[in-house]
Amino acid sequence: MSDIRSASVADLAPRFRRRKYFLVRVADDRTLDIARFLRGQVALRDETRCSLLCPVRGQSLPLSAGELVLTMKLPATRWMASSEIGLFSEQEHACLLDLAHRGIVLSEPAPDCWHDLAAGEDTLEQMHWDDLAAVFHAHSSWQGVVGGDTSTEHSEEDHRARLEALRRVRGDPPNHFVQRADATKRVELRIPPLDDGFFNTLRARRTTRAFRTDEALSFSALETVLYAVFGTYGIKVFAQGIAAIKRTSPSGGALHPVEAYLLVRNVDQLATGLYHYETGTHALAQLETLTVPEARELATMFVSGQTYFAEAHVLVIHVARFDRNFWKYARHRKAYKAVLMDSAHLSQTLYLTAAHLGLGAYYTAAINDSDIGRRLRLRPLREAAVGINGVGLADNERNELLFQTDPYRPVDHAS
Amino acid sequence: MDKADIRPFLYRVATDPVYRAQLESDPVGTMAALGVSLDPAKDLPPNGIIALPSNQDILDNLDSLANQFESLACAMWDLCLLWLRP
Repeated sequence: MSDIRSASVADLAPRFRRRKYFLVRVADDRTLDIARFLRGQVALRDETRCSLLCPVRGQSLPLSAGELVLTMKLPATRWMASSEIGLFSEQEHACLLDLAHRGIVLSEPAPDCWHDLAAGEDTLEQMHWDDLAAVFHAHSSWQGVVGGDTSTEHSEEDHRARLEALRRVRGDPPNHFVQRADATKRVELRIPPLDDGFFNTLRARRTTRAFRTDEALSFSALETVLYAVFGTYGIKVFAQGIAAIKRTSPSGGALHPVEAYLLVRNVDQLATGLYHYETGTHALAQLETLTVPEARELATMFVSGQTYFAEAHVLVIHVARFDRNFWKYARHRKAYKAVLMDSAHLSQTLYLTAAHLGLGAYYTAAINDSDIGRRLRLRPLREAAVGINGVGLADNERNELLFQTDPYRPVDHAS
Repeated sequence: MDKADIRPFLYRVATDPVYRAQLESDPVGTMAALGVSLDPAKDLPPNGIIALPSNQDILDNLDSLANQFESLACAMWDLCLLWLRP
């Protein structure tokens, strides 16, 4: 399809409609001060901008107040017929063509650069995405983000210096303990002994940032972790094709929309590569085999350059199936939050399972979710990676990033 | 100009003499190619003489400018690392 701007209006007679998901942001954005730059200075300035927040591509699309008014004249639920387009002046028509080329309005035929827009909007609608959630999801997605941890100094003095720098900019942080000044009474509580097996596991939970890269994780340990965390051990069939499954973690509406995908780096009897854990059959479906260097590079990319997390023997990618959750909670303001909390529940169960087995574990939300979606061939707007757990053999000898706390007992600090 | 385009633009001006000369001779056209429309009366110097910052000046400022845009991404790593002890 040719670019619509290269043909005359009469030749193509495009039809237009407003986008159904149309959220606008007005904000002062920092930008390069070109006028001062042309006068010899490198400086930034604030510029008030109006942007359409695109939930399909996660882009902010600038538009002027006049363009916004023009866009509001278009219907969102049907294409504006050629006869109706005659209602617009020649200048407005040219503006609509330009807006279509910039992805602000939909046109038929679509410009080459926005050929996926109408289908994306249709998918959002069919999946019953809430508009705010769809925009937040798209605009909090990462692609190609690489943070630098390798150059960060980890001595106590360095950390203290960074905290003091933060305090200078933001003032004192809110206190780590909270006491309500308006409380009418305080009832002291007994500190119970947490010393049996389960409570010891709870207290042993921690985040691991160093893994033994010279030793493989046993296949049986992986089996145990997957079954304990993502396995199904109960089912309730409500109607033909409608069932709830039981896992060891709770899930909003008992829908369990979070799937486990694995990037296996170093596990006995298991080829390095990408897998999907099938909770219905307790099996690993291989999606891609990788060499050891390829797996290392991919893991680093998945966790946005956090090399210490990339070392884990297995990365368990939490993939949310929004279509399953939104089937029940259509356009529900709380649904997106509930899916993220499902992932958090599963993560805690994985942490506890790892602690129980003497393994190391972590969870990170700082992931390149857009890149992961493409690599795992996920269905855009229907499912997406929301977080990654790592699990493996902890290297306690070189865990310079281990968070060590001093003992604390509330009874010693009672007021 | 989009945030993501600022650093590549500055880097190119500081390291590509042909591009720098093009910006000096035709600022309106060069910036239009980046989607930035200049108002000659307001944005260009009154005498019409463009005086760009030196290449070294631009390079010296690249990181501090980038830091202002990337603070959100950096904050994520702060969450992981800020409270740790050796």
